[in-house]
Amino acid sequence: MSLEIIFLIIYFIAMAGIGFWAMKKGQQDSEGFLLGGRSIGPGVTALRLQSSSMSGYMFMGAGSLGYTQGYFGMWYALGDLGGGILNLSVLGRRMRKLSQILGSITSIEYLEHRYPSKWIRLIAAPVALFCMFFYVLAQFIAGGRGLEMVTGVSFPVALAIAIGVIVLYTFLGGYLAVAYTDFVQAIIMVVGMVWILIATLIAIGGFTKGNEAIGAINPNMLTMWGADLGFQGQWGVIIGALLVFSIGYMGWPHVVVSHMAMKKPSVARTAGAYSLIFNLLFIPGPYLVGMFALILLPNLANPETAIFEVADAVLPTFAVGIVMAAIMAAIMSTADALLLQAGTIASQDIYARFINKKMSDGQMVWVSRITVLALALIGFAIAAFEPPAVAAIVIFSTTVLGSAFVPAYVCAVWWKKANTVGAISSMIAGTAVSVLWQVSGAPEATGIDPMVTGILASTAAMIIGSLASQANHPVPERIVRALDETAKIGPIPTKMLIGQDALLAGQAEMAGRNE
Amino acid sequence: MSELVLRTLVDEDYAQSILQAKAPGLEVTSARLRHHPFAGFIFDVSHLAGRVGRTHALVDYYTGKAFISGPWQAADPDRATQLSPVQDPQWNTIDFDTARQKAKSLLATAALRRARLAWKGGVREHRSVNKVWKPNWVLDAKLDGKSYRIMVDGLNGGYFFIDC
Repeated sequence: MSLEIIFLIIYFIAMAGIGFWAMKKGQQDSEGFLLGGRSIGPGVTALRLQSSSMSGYMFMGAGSLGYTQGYFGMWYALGDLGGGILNLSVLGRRMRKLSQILGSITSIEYLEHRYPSKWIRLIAAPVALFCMFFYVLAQFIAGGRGLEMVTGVSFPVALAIAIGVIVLYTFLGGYLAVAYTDFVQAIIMVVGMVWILIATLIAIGGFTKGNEAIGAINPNMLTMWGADLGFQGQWGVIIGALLVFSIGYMGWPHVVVSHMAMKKPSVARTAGAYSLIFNLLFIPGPYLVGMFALILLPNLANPETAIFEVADAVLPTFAVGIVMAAIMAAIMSTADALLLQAGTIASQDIYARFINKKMSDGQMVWVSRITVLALALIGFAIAAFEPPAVAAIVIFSTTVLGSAFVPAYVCAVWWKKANTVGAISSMIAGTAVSVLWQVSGAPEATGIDPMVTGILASTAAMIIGSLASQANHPVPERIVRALDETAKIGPIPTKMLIGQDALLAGQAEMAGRNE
Repeated sequence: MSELVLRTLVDEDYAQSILQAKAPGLEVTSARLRHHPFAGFIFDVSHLAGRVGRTHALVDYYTGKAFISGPWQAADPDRATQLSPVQDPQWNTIDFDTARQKAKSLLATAALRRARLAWKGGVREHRSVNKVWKPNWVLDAKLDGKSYRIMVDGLNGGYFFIDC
C-alpha cells in the first residue's frame, strides 16, 4: 500500500474520531440538540464557514482557471477573498439574533418564519435541492479524480469509493461534529495549500521567474483579461466573476446555517476577521499553482487535475498524502454538509410539510436517508460516464442559488417592508433569469454574466413585489417587532447589549405589554 | 388540568447583582416577579447505541416558541400560590396540542441534527404538564441618568431589555 493511501486512511479515521468525540461531547448537554447548542465560537464559525464553502472547486476549478486563463482567475479570487467577511458582516449578527427570536433551526424554515407562507418553502426547498445536487456532483467528481490519481484505479472505481466515503461520513456526528471536523479540515486545507504553493515557487525559481516563464509562454496570461484577451472590457463577465463568490455564498443554505449556530451575535465580528485571515492564506494559492503548472507540466490532458499533478511533481511522497488529505478535506466538508442539508430539506421542508403532515420521526430519517442515497446514485451515474467540468458546475449552482436567495436573506434582516410577496417574486425571478440566461447562451452573446442579471432581477422583484403588495400583505406585527429587536443597538448600554439572552425576547415582549 | 409553578432559582438580589456585574453603575429602583405560561413536556429520545435520554421541553403559549430546558424544580406550595401571571395578549396564543407538536418536532429535528442519518427515530412523550409557570424578574433600573426596564430569567439569570 502506498504512503499516500496510508495517509488518506489515517485522515479518514481521524475525522471519524473527531465526529464521535464531538457527538459524545454534545450528548452531555441537552442544548447540544440545537445547532450545536448555538455554542460555536468565532474560530470554529469562521473556519467552518470557509471550509464548507471552499470545496473541491478550489482544488480543481480554480487550478484549471489559472492553468487556462492565467491571472483572469484572480477576479474570482478577489470576490472570494471578501466573501467570508461580507457574509458575516451583512448577515451574521442579525441573522443569528432573528433566527433565535423566530425559533428557526433550518435556513429554509428561517425564510418561512420571516416571510410567513407555505409557498416560501414550496419554492425555496426544490430550488435549493436542485442546486445542491449539482454542487454535490462537483464534489463527487473532484473526490473521484483525486483518488484516481493517488490510487491509480480507474475513475469510475475511484468515484464509487469517494462517494461511499462521503455518504458514510454523512452518518457520523451532528452539527457539533460537523463544526469541529470542518474546523480541523480548514486548518489542513490551509497547510496543504501553502505547502504546495511554496514547493511550486521553489521548483520554478521564485515568483518573479515564474511570471517571466509564463510571459514567455503567453504574455496575455499575465494580464487579467484571459489567455486570448477575450475578457478585455467584458465588465459584465468580470462583475459576475466578482459577485459569484463574494455575495453568491450568502444564498447557500448550508453556509448561512453557520450564522444560526453562533454562541452569540457578537461572534460574527471576530469570525469575520478570522475568515479574512484564512482567505488571504488560502485563496490565491490554487489559482497561482494552477497557472505555474503551465511551466512544470505544459501538456496536461485535463487542466482540472493541475493541482494534483503539481503536488505529485513537487512534493515528497509523504507530503502528497497529506496534501491529498487536504484536498479530500475540502471536498468532504462541503459534500457532507450539502448532503445532510439536502436530506433535511427533502424530509422536513417537502415531505413533512406537503406530503405527509403526520410524519413520524422514524419516517423523517428514512426520507433523509433515501434522499442522500438517491443523490449519491444519480451523481455516480452522471459523473461516471460523462463527468462535466467541476468549475462550470460550481459556478452555475452558486450563481442560481445566489440569485434566488441573496435578496431574500439580506432583506429579511435589513428591510422591514420586505414581505412574502416580495420574497416569492424575488426567488422565482432570480432562479428563472439566471437559469434562462445561462442555457440560452446569452452570456456569450451579451458579455453579461448570469450572476449579474440574476441578482438584478431578484433584487428588483423583491423591491417591486414588496412595495406593490404592502396594503394587502403587510409584514405581520410580530415580525416587525422581532426585526426591531434584531436591529436594536442604540440606547441599550453596549456592554449589556452583547450579553442579552435572546431566548427571553418573546417573554420580555409579552411582559412589557402588560406592565 | 395539570399545573406546575417552577421554583425561582434567581432571587431579587442575585438578579440585581447579575446586571450590576455587567454595568457597575446600574441602580435598580424596583423589581417584580412575573410568571410566564408554558406547556411542558418530558420526552424519552433514542440516541445511538440503544441509549435513551430524557429531555425536558417548554413551549411558550404566547409566542409558540419551543426550547429545551433543564429538569424542572417545583416551587414550595406556599410560594406557588403567589402567582403573578403575565396577561394573555390574545393575538398569538397557541393551544396545548399545537405546543405538543412543536415540542416533538423540535426534539426530532434536533436529534437528527446530532446523530445525523444514523438516528433510528424514536421520540416518546413520557409526561406532559398543561401549564408550567416560569418565573422572570421585571426590573426598573437607571444607568447614567437613563431609565431601563429589564427582564431577568428567574431560572438561569439570563437577561433581556424590555424597553429603554
